[in-house]
Amino acid sequence: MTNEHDPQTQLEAMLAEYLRLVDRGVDTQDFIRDNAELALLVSGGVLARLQPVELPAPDANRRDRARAAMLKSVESRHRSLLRRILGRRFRFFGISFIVVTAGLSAGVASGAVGGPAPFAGLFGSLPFDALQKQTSQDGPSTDGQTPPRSAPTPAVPARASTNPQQPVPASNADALDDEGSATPIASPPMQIGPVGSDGPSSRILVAADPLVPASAPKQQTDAPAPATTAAAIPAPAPMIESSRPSVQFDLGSGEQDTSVAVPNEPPVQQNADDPGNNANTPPLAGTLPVQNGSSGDRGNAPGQVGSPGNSGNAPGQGASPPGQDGSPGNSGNAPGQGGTPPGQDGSPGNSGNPPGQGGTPPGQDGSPGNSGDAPGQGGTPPGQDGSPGNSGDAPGQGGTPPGQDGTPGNSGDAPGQGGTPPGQDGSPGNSGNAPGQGGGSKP
Amino acid sequence: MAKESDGASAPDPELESFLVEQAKAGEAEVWESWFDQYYQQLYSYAFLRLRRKVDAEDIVAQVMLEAVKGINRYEYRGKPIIAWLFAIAHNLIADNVKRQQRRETREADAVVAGGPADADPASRIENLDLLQALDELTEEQRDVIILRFFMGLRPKEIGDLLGKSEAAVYSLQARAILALRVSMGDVPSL
Repeated sequence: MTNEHDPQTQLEAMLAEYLRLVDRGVDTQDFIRDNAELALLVSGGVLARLQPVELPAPDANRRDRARAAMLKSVESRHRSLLRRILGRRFRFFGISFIVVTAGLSAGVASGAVGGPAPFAGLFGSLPFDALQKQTSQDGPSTDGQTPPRSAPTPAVPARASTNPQQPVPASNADALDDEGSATPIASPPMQIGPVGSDGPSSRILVAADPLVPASAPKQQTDAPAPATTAAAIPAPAPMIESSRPSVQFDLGSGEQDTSVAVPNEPPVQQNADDPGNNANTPPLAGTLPVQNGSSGDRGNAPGQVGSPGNSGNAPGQGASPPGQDGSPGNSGNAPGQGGTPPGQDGSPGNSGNPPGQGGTPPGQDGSPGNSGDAPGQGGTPPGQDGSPGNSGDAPGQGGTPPGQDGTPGNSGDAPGQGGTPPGQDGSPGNSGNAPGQGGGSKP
Repeated sequence: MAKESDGASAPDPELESFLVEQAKAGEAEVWESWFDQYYQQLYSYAFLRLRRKVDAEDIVAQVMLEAVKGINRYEYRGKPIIAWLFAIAHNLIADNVKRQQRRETREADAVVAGGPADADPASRIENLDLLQALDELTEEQRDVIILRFFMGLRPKEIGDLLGKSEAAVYSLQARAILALRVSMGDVPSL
């Protein structure tokens, strides 16, 4: 608890008030005059000595380093901010990184600067799988339209196709279901997957399935195997990294086995009663998406050639193949799926944000205006210089001591009294009377 | 006498608010301008508190880095940005002081603190006396004296920074001056 009458407290309050007045720009001359103690404090005291303290200047190099560190921090923070905004795509040292989070196993792909090419390789496989699924659901007529993986048509023995007298192997639905009866026609390689608009592009080339010998006989048990069977069955087409299962066929006679690659897709449904259909299935060639189905007619001829055992029947039932030409219409679906990968090229558009922030800097030029205020505060110290004028009063009081020196002047009176003794010399004059009385006493 | 008018140097709140937003957006020019504008003040404050030039420079560098890191959490409410920077410096210095209480080299540096080597010896001694006297003040009083007389902040700004009213700042200031007066051997009239 402070005592209001405590001199220290009073001075503190006085000083605080003085400082407040100074800050408010009030003329404090009168205030100081009324408070002599404050005058001493302000004039030659602490306040006057607080201002001119000089501090060692900071090192310029360290200052520059501090500035560089700060700017670097600002930049890295800004970059991380952008990264959060862009989300799945950012660029670092000229390489585009795409963070894939949607369950794609490809992970992060890197490619050329700015190019969407990484998407091509990344998503290129998707249409293929989807296409496989699609073609397998198209029904029996789409059998053979499955985009093949291997290259084209193996040579078909001409002898088999041209010999209508060959005993036709018994054809039944079961056999057809397992084997597929389409006479293969070479399919041009099909491109699936996008091609990047810039940067290196990735392409997946999908070729036709290995051709399956049409109407390859199967389990011909009730008839002797034709002598030409072995020769008529072409060697399986070379498989190029095919993952399709291969099926072993028993030719019935037990003399020969042949391996035939069969696609997984459902086989073509054909008339089980008419083995000749087996040779007519060639219109399946039209299933190729690239050929638009019109080439189905062209497919007939090879089909007739391809069926070694049934070649005799094919000409007779030649009318049915045109009926099957309708199936190529389904093949149009596959190309439609190829369009999805290009749709992913749109993601680079996010990088447009950074340039947008460049517009703000011109607006900041106004800030230096504030720095002008600091010199304004410097005006207070000169204001305090006026107080020494009051201190002049003190020397004025010093004049009184000389005034006291005047008291010795009073002592000058004493010598003036010293004149009385000579005045007594006159008394002898009275003694002249004595002789007159003659008998008088001495004084 | 003093002719300064109150509030004349107060920064424009609208401009400061805009600058804060720009700084949050990572605008390097804003940060550069702040660095240039406040470096000396922050350095002086740090030096007067720590009395080591190198420490003071480090503190200022840290203040700016902390400001960059924390700008997103900062909300401009009309107080000058320098008050925020001083608050950061205040905390960093407090940590620094706790870690390195009274280093041995401090006295050697204190000679430097008296002023430049080519300064008048008498004034250096006076400065040294003053700086030593500052050590004898309470922390609040020392902050007020440094911010008021060395930094040139206004009492209201100091109050904002220290979380005190303007009147309290005046009181602290007066008390500190009287304490300095006694410390420095000024005529004790009481």
